[in-house]
Amino acid sequence: MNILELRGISKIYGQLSALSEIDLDVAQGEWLAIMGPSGSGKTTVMNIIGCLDKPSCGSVVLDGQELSALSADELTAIRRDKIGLIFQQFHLISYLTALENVMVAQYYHSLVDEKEALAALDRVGLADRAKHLPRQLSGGEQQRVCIARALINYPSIILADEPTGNLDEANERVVMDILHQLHREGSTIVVVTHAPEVAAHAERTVVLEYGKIARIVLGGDPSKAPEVGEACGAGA
Amino acid sequence: MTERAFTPGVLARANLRRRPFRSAGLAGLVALFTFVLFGGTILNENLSRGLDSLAGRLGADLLIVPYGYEKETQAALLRGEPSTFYLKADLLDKVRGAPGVVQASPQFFLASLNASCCTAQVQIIGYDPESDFLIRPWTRGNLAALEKGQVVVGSRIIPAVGEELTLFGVGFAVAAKMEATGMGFDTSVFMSLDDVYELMVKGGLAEGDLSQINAFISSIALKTSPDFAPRDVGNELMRRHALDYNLDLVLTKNLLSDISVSLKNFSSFIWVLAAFLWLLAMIVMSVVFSVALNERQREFSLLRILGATRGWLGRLILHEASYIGFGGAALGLAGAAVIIFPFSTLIFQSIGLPHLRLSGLTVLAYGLAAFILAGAAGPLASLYSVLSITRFDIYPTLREGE
Ligand SMILES: Nc1ncnc2c1ncn2[C@@H]1O[C@H](COP(=O)(O)OP(=O)(O)OP(=O)(O)O)[C@@H](O)[C@H]1O
Ligand SMILES: [Mg+2]
Repeated sequence: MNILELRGISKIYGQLSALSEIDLDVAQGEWLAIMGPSGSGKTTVMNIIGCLDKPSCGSVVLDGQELSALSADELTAIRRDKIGLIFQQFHLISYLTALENVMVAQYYHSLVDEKEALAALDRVGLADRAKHLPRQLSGGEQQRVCIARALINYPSIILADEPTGNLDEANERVVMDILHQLHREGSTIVVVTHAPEVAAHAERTVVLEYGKIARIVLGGDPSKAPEVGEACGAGA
Repeated sequence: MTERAFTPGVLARANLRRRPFRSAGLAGLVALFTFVLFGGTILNENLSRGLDSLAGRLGADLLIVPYGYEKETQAALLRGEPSTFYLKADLLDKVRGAPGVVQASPQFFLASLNASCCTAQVQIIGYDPESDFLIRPWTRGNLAALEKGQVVVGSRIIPAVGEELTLFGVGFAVAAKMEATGMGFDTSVFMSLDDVYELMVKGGLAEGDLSQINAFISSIALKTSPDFAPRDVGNELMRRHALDYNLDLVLTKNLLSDISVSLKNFSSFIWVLAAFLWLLAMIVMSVVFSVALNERQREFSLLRILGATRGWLGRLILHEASYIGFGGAALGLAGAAVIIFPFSTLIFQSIGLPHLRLSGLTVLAYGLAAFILAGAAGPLASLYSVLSITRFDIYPTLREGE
């Protein structure tokens, strides 16, 4: 069963076509990597899947629901209920503590449960930093708070845009371990990355070039694995 | 700080705490406006109530005074500035028979030197307890007969009823104390005309004997018939007696008109200042809010990503603005209460106007009105920001932060 189906997705900025005619299916529980050169449309596609942005044309079906017809508030509700977002930049609210940053996501979703929020921080190894403000945390710690926040509401799909881009190797390993854990528990994971060693964790890798799917490879490393599809019409 | 729920109010407070100077500055501006509006209207209301009560209880429609003593009479009555002036006493009978005159009662104004009772000079006023209608409305209980050697004292004269008061070396028994009038009466001592004359002789204040002195009074208070206009009654009296007695007339209404004018000036000043401050507060807050909106786009985008709706963000901004508005308003009210109420008597004395306390309910009503008007400036000033936040898109703004 597919949790995500993209059909003919294009995104046009003035003269620039950031994405054109993307078709992509993501299966429930799959770990997918998206790679490609800078400017190839990776973030754009992630933002469309994450309900942060709307495609210029094409359709997105997430967990059985067609997104293009939804209003901004309905998209907000989907984002809140089904999607866990992890950014390249550690987007935390600067005047709330680590724990509160996690609890805010609970608040918008349903109910604030401090114990559960603490458990989520514990899971990313930050139980003892719960009362720290973002500026009192290292980059790796901030990213782990973001992950704790992304998974607090049991999202159906976790979207991570360069989750390790700003981290050193040790922190990268911690983050990847957490993603593995989530994956084992059944979460669907989509990771955008430049780093082959990050993509290597994935079951399948989509390579974007100039806003199109250049190729899809099984396994994490697009340079080694055999190609399974060409742009447009590829997917499963 | 661990908050259970992240309502707009909770986040708004956290955010205001994060920018203490900005928050305090804006709240201070609103507080200043509230202070001026509330303090000003209370003072203003105080004054006009004082005036009304004065006009209502001053009993007399007309005062006859010696020519050129209009100002002194006003000063003596309203502010208790002691002065002495004379009018021939036989005028009284002639006035009593004049058309339109219902009641006429004489007074004798005698400025004391520093009396032992009081640090300031007191105004001694001799009056005729039988025909009096000026003093009686202000005395508690009935003071049917003021006996020889007895005095009625104003509310701010220290000796209590039953105690003694020494004036020019002569002791008097305090028979009654007047209610607070807010005017010169409060620092005056009232005795019968005969006692004043005697005091003048005993105290060596006048040359000549009693029979010469008691031919004089200072003023005559008149109550006119409702069928006559006080001005017409006065004009007729002037026509008949002005030449013989060298007199002047004070219409009680005119007596108060000077105050009315200064009161009007004062209230328009207050209104203009308040309107100016309100506008200033609105403009400054609007500017600060929209600047803050720009610098907080990332924060707002993030909240949206976490699941806040546009409406929710709008409420967040409204909450922040309301905390500033109503917090500042409360501060201003508190400031007014601390500064104006304790010193109000002093303030009124220094501007030389009568002062009467307002009821708690009135003060409360004015406070509430000022609170709402001032507090609402916050949310009103944030309206533009609220409207633009409910329009902005998440994705481009988050990108700008990258
Ligand atoms: N709001 C926008 N307005 C105009 N052009 C945009 C906008 N957002 C993205 N683009 C353009 O769309 C193209 C794809 O951008 P996108 O951010 O998806 O690239 P990316 O693959 O994530 O690159 P990177 O690896 O550098 O993050 C780029 O050429 C970018 O300049
Ligand atoms: Mg990108």
